[in-house]
Amino acid sequence: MADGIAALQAIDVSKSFADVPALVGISLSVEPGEVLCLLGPNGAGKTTLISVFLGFLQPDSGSSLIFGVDSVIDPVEARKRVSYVPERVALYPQLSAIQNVEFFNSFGPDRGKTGYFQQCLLDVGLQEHHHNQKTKTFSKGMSQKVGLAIALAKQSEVIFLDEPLTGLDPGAAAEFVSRIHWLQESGTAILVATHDLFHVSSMANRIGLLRSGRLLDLVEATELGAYELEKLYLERMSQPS
Amino acid sequence: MQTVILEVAKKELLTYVGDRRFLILCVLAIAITIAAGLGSWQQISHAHTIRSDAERTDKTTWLEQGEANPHDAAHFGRYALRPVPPLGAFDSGVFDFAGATVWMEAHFQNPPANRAAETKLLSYPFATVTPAWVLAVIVPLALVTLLFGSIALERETGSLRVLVAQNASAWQLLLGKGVAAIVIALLLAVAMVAIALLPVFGYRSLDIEFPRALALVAAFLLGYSSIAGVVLLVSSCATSGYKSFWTATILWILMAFCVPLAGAQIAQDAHPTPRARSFASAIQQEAQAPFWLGSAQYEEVALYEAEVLTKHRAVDRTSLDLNRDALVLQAHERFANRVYDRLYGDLYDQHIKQEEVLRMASALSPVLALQRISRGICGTDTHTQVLFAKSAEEHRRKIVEQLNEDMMYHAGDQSFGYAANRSLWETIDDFDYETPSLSQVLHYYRFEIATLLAWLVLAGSLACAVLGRQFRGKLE
Repeated sequence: MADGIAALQAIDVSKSFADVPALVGISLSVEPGEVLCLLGPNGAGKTTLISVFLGFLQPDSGSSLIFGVDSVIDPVEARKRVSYVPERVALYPQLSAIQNVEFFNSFGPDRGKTGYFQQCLLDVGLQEHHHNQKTKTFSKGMSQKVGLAIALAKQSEVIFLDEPLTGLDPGAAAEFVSRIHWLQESGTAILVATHDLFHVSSMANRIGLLRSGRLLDLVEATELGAYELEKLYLERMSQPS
Repeated sequence: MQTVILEVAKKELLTYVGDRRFLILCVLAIAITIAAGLGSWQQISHAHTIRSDAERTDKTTWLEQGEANPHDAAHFGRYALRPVPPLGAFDSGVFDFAGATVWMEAHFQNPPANRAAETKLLSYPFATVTPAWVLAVIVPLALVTLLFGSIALERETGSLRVLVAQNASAWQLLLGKGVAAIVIALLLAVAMVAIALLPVFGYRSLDIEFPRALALVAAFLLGYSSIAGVVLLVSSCATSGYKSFWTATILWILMAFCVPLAGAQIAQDAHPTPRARSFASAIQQEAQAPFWLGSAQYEEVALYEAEVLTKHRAVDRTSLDLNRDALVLQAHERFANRVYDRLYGDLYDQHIKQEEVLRMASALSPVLALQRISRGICGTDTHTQVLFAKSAEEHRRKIVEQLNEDMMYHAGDQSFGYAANRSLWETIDDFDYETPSLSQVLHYYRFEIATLLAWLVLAGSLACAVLGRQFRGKLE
C-alpha cells in the first residue's frame, strides 16, 4: 500500500435511479498492484460503481476515494491518477491508432513524444504495422488494445476496465489477461467489471460477487478454483433477493 | 491549455477530412458559392459598366444641351446614379429591389427608379442567391451538421466518458470543436470575399475596400462563432445525436427563415409604407395643386421675395431687377420641398421603424444579425439606400435653386425667353455621393454586433456550464 492509502476505497456507497437501487451500501478497497474483479450479471451495478469512482455519477450516500481523494468533492484531482477502458472502446475511426493514443493523452501533463506512445502500443501488443492504420479497420480486440494503450500512456496508478473481454476471441482474451498481469506487476491497481467467469480467476487477486447493487461476497481468487467459483456464483445468483 | 484546444481542433479537422461525406459536402458548398460569386461578380461588373456609361451620357447630354432657359434646363434635369459598391458582388442586399437612379428635375422629388430586379426576371428564383446568402444561410447548416454530434455523439459512443476520465475539461472540448468547425466555415468566407474583391482591381483602389473585406470576414467569424456556440449548447444538452441533430436543424430553420420572414412581415404590418400610386397622388395633391391652383402661392412668393430683398438689403424687386417668374418658380420649390420633407420624411420614418423591428428580430436570430451586418459592410442595405435617396434630393434642390436664381438675377423681363449656355451648365456640380464609411456602418450596426457577441457568450457559457455539470457527477 503506497503511503498507507488504498488506491481505491468505496465506503458505504449507495445509488438509486428513480427509486431503483443500483448500489446498496458498497464498501471495498483495492490496493496498489492488486486486481479486483467485480463479477455479476448485467444490471448488477458494476459499471455504476466504476462511474461513481470516476465522478461520472454522484452517489446518494457514501464516499468513493482514489488515493484518499473523494471523487465527488474533487473529481478533477481524483481523475489525475486513473484511467478508464470502457466496454466498447470508442476510438475515432478516421484517426490512426497512434493518433488516438496521442489525442486521448493530450489533456494531462505533456508526455508528447510519438515514440513513447508507440512504445505503449507495443506494450499492449499492437504490432507496429498497425500503429498508423486508421482504427476504422480495427477488430474489437485491436481496439481494446488501443484503449489499454491510452490508459497505459497516462501512467496512471489505477485502471478501471469495464467488461474488457466481451467480444474478444479466446486468443485475444488470453493476451489481454497477460497484459493486465503485466500492468499489475508494475504496481497498478486494477478494478475490472466483468461477467466472464472463465477468465476471472486467472485475472484477479480478489473477486467481488455483485448482484442487484449488493456486494454479496469478496473472496481471494486463490481460495477458489474455477469450479468452486462457478458454483458459488450460480448459487448466489439464484438466491431470492 | 491552448495546446489542448489546438489538439482537439486538430483531431476534429482530421476527422472531418477523413470523412468522404464531409469532403463531398465541401465540394458542393464551394461549387455553389463559386457559382453564386461568379454570377454576382458578372452582374456587379455589368452594373458598374452601365453606371459609368450612364454617368458619362448624363454629363455630356447636360453640357451639350445648347442654349436654353435655366428653368427649362432644370426640367430637363440630371440623374443621380447610385454608386455600385464593389462588395455588392458579395452581397447585393436590398439593392436589387431598390431603385438605382434618381431623376433630379424641377418641382418634383422623384423616388429612386430602375431596380436591378427588373432585369433579373429570367434568373428568378436564383437571382438572390449571392455568396453572402450562401455563407449566411447555408454555411450555418453545415455548422449544424459538423457540430450537432460533437458532444451528443461522443456521449453516445462512450468516448466522452474516456475523455472525462482523461480529465478533459468542458471548455477545452467545446472550444476545440468550435474552432475546428469555424476554421472550415471561415475558409469558405475568406475565399468568397476574395472572389468578390476581384472586380475591385478593375476600377477602384484595393486599399479602399480592403478594410471592409476584413471587417466582413470578422463579421462572419463572429456570426459563425455564435451559431457554433448555439449548436454546441444543443449538443451538450441533447441526450442523443438524433435529438441533437433535429433540435439544431429546427433552430437553423427558425433562425434562417422563420425569424427573418416573420420580422419582415411584422415590420410591414406594424409600420406600413404607402402604395406607390397613393404616395404619388398625395404629392400631386399637396405639393403642386395648392400652390399652382390654390392660394398658397401668394404668401409663399411674398415670403421668399422678402428674404431675397433682405439678403441684398434692397427695398423692392425692381431695384434688383429680379425676374418675377423665377421668383415664383423658386418659391414653389421652397413650398414643395416642405411637403416633400414631410411626406418623404414620413416614408423614411416608416423605413427606420421597420428597420428597428428587424433589428429587434435579429436579437432572436444570429443569422439575421449576420445578414444585416454583411449588407451594411457591403454598402447594400436599406440605410445606405435611404441615404442615397436623401443625398440625391439634396443635390436636386441645389441644382434647381442655382438654375432658378440664375434666371431670377439675369432674365430681367425676358422671363422664359432668357437663355443660358454651357458656361452655366458647367457650374452645376455632378452628383457625388459616397456610401457610409466603415466606422459609420459599424456604429449603425452596433446592436447586431452586440447581439452576436451576446449569443456567443451566452451559448458558450451555458454549454460550458451544462457540460461541466455533467462532468461533475451527471454523466448519464
